[in-house]
Amino acid sequence: MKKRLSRRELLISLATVGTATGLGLSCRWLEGTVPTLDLHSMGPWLGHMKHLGEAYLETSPNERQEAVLLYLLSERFAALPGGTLAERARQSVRFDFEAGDTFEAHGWVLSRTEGRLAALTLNHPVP
Amino acid sequence: MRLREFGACESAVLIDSRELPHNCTREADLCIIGAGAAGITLARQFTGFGLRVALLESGGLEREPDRHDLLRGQFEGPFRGPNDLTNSRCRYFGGTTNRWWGTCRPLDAIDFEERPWIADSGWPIGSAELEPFYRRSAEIVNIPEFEEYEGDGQLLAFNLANRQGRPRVVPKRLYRSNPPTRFGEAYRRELEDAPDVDVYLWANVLDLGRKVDGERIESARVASHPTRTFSLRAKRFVLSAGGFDIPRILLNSDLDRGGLGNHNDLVGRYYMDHTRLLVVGNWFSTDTSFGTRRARHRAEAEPPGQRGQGYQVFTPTARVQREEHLLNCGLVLHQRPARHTKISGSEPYVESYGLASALDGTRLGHGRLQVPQVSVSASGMVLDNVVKFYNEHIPLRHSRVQLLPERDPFGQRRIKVDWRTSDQMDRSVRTNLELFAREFGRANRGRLRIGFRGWSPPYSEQGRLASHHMGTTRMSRDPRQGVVDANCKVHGLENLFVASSSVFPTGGFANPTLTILALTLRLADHLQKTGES
Ligand SMILES: Cc1cc2nc3c(=O)[nH]c(=O)nc-3n(C[C@H](O)[C@H](O)[C@H](O)COP(=O)(O)OP(=O)(O)OC[C@H]3O[C@@H](n4cnc5c(N)ncnc54)[C@H](O)[C@@H]3O)c2cc1C
Repeated sequence: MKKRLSRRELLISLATVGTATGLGLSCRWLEGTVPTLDLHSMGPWLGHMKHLGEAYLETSPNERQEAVLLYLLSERFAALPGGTLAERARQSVRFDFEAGDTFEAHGWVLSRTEGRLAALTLNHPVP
Repeated sequence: MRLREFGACESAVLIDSRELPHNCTREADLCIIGAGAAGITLARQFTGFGLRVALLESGGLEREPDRHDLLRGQFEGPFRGPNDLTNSRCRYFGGTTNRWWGTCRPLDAIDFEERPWIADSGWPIGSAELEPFYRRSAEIVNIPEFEEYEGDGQLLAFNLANRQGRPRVVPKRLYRSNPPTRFGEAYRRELEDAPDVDVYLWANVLDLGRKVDGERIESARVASHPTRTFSLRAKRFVLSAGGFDIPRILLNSDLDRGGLGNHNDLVGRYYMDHTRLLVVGNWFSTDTSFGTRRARHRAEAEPPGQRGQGYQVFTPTARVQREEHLLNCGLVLHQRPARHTKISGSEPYVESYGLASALDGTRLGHGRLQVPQVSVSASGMVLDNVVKFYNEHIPLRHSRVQLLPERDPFGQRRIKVDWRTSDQMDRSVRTNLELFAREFGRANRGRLRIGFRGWSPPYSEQGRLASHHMGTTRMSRDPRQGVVDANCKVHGLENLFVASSSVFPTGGFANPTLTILALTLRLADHLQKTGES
């Protein structure tokens, strides 16, 4: 696994992280598009994720810099037992919930990994 | 006076108390006061037993305004106003089962335990003792034999066991038959045909009499009309008039000495009711097989005429309750039609209602509680995915039923009910909801939004008391801590018993009637074993 992951790679992992949770994109949309997922066609979804990212950064203001987020997520994913990036993202979310490492956005209880991934969308241009 | 013709029915043998001479005396071996779920069930256990049984019911066979008026009083609490007293009870044959929904579940084993983190908790009997009576009660309300949480298969299916294989929340069932058993209709004929049971209608018990300082109740003073009374003398008496009227009768008896059975000032105290928060949050999952209850209307929950399988309820395990000092609770994931329903159902639009959009402040839902509309049924119906929450009430001495100076037309003092909550209860609701949110997230079964911020508006507007009147004559071995003993006999009185949820020292989260029935059957066994014929 690469030491430092890019924003684009991580955003794709967010899009696939949990279709059951509704945070990612729907299975139908993803079918056949991964790994060539074109984030630019996902405008509305990116818009929602920006709101979520803002909510996360309000609870963790010292992670506002993208470099910090990229570092924390890369470290976290590298330390997980293995599998594809999407699998690691799912694992990371599960471990967050297990450890109670969660935050609240508009009352929704979400995992820190979801929050960090969503915060990455803030620097991503909405088409 | 037994009537061959009675109201609309053909072969009825019921007694119309209004026809009895004023001031007359009637006799029985066993006098049961109140013909609701408990009273009817108790009387049925004595058919053919060889004792003369009198079942006294304040009302007739249907709702009548003058009897309904007897329910009026004052109610103080965060939810509905004064109507709570009149909406939560029925004053005629069959009692409140004329209105109930029929949802049933036994209490959990932990509910009977003394839990050091809950003051005044602990029953003098355990769940194992009630188990055989629960099974018989299931027959009476037409639900299947219930199982305890239904094994590892279901935990695995829901992915609820954690890495150590230890679940923190478990799925259980709330059972319900459709239509719910209406005790008055279902068991009236059986009682009419019973040669040893006299059912007195329009027999409103005013108070119970004993010799001064005597330990035996001698008679009940009964009014069929505000100006006509009679006396019912019996060897033993059972109060089964419901959790508000039992303390009312006790406090109205021996009035100038503070009420019957009340030497330790406990009658009416520790009133508990389940809080039912109809929207304590929202949930999102694209996996609708995950314990979702989807019903447009209650009646749709079960196919008519079938023994109800009911629906899924999630609860924290006993271990987690112990570790985190929680009250018991039940959480139901419910899909109900949103008020401004129907959209086209075209797919992209439907998907825009995913959690991602629900999280977007600009699109957050509708209505006072900002409920996001997150699912669309096949017919294009927009469904709210709401979280319903049933909470155990903590026993509190100052949560209570008291007499008001005001009297009803029969001269009985009316009641005031103070429903109280506590910080511990608030904390427990919140912690339990966080627990569910974390566990559903960990199992990747969905996400929860927690709306609860205490009992003040707007949450209280979505909340209800469940009309489960518990605790007002609580059970304890120690007369200083309870009104009745482990056999439901009133402390200090030889021949007065109680069959009601009023004896519950704590109430878990489950609807109470199955437990009322189990305790009633147990009491019937006790009365028969210790019988004076
Ligand atoms: C809308 C609603 C829905 C409910 N749904 C459920 C549910 O789904 N599941 C559940 O478990 N519980 C439910 N309940 C509660 C359930 O109805 C009660 O737990 C149950 O009826 C209690 O049985 P009981 O015999 O103790 O009292 P009741 O059924 O209330 O019967 C008491 C009887 O005593 C009579 N009485 C009262 N005072 C006197 C007097 N002074 N003299 C003579 N007779 C008197 C009354 O007229 C009445 O007939 C519901 C209640 C309501 C209001």
